[in-house]
Amino acid sequence: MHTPNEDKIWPLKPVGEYDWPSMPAERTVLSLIDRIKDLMGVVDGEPAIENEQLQHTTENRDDRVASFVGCEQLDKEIDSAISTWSQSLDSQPPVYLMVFPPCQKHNFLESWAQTRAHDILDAPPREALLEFPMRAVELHGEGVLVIPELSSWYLRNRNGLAHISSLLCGFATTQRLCVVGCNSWAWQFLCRAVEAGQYLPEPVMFQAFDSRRLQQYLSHVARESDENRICFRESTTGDDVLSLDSEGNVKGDYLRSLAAQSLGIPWVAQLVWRQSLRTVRDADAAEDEAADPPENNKGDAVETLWLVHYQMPKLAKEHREPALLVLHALLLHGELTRDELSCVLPVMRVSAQVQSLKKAGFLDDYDGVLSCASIAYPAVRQYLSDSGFPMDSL
Amino acid sequence: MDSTTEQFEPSQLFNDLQDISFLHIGVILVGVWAGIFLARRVLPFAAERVPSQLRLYFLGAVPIIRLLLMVLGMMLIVPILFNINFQNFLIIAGGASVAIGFAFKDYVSSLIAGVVAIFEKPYRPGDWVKINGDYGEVQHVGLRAMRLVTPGDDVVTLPNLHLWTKNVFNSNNGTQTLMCIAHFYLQSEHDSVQVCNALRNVALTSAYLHYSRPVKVIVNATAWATHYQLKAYPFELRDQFEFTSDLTIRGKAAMAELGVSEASVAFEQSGESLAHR
Repeated sequence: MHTPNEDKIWPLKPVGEYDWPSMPAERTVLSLIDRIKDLMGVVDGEPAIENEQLQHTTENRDDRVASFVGCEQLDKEIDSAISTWSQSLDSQPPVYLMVFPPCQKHNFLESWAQTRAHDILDAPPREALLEFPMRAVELHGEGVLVIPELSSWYLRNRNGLAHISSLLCGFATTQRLCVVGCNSWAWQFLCRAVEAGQYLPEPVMFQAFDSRRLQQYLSHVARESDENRICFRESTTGDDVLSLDSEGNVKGDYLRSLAAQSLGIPWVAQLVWRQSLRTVRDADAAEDEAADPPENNKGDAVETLWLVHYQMPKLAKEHREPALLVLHALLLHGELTRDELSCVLPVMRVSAQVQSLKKAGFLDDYDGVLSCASIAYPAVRQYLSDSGFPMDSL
Repeated sequence: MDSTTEQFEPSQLFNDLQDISFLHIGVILVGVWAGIFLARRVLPFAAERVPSQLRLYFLGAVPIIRLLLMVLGMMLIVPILFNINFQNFLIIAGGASVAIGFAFKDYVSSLIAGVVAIFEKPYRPGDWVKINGDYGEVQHVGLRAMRLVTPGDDVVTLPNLHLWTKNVFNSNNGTQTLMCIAHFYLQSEHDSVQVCNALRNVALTSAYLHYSRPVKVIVNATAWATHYQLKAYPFELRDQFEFTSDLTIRGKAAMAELGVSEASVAFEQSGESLAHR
């Protein structure tokens, strides 16, 4: 496999310069035609493999070939950015602010800080954010201090902004190097509600994961996770989606579509990728293998996994507005319990909305803590944009 | 007859009956009607489904398309019916002036106001306006009249004639948002700065808030209370009543937390204001 960009560092860029990956024009037209054909009940031409022959991969298999292994690439990019910043430090306060898209299930800035043995300043527990008097925020000390997520420091409630305001005032007086992370939705809210932009420097953001970066990342995920050689093929064309041409460019349109569909966010792309994986049904696979055992060009056994086009979840038209209020609140805060959700929303039937959103695949619920499902984030973002909600900026 | 008299002699006004293609006229009328019908059905239908930023453009296109189709229809039909030349034009214009002046003055005035409304845009479909004491969302702008839907779900039809004589208050003027005001009347013994900050935070933490518009708290001292107006903008026009309710509910809760009492006025049976508490 040709991977010329293995060690390339994509430098972080100022927020506002995010290069949103675009869907290939051909794919856009085809998906439009597909929708019309679906409406008219027209059956499509012959794909490389029929959908009926495919089945979902098992969770165990998914975990082996497509688990989220963290993004070493992003760690390197943060290292590089912090190193450059700390050497040419002339900003006052000495704070480095990084904005990330939402729906990270594992905060990688926190993981980065742990692996680099930096101090981490934890946010107060959520239930304490509405309490008075609050404890003073202590930023003093030696070395780099990392505050992984500003969205954990507030609740969108009249009484829920005191801690974040205190933290921002702390930045104004500290001499300690601070690396701060914030999700892009929370950042927009904080700029409005507590004028966070006046206290903190211009934020930076990693570059979008386009097809090249995704090829590198997904190859790495598959290689790290499974010892066998696996060929990932698109079900409609049969193309090996991770292969590169002689000039090092990604072959085919699958990864470009994946990049556009996942908005260039690696953890969303990884989940879409994982949900798109299929294997040939057991009986069909046995027949195929007997007839034509798959091999790679070195003669080793190669396992094939098929990729189908992933359909984003859809939000029912009924009660869409209250549902979007719930999703917007979750994007602003990362995760909330039902009670906390009630604190940050207008008077409405929160439980009913939560149940219907969970059923539709828009919410994750881990032990009563709700968050927007990462895989549904592109759809949620589109719905919010269409309904005129205040948006994030990347 | 001298040459000058000959110049103004009217020629035949109508084309000969056998030269008039009623089929053509019928086709044009049906075409124009179908075009207007489609525009009135399809565009509002699409407006409810496209991103909200485009909704007002779709709605606003309906009267423009209707006017263009009607003008096109007239331009196609008039030469079929009439023998148009300068003399005939004068005759038609003179006749029309008399008819309009005596019989259809208000009607034609409304029609002209309808055309002016399309270009001057004092109101467009989707706007929230107050005319002659009626407040509501403009549902339809016709050539003769416009239709409002009030918050109480009443449909009010107002002739465009009002454009000449009444003030038109347009709350959003073609934009996606409008100012909402929540009113609080508080007893005078309290810390106004604390109340202003609390009310400001109420607006800043509302789920309906438009981030890029200002939030203001205006204070007035009246004879019987301190009057606070919390002014802010929702991100969606149609949320204005939910937004105002949210500001009011949470604002009242905030005042209760601060221990500030609302002012109230006692009325005698006659309804006259007696005492302020």
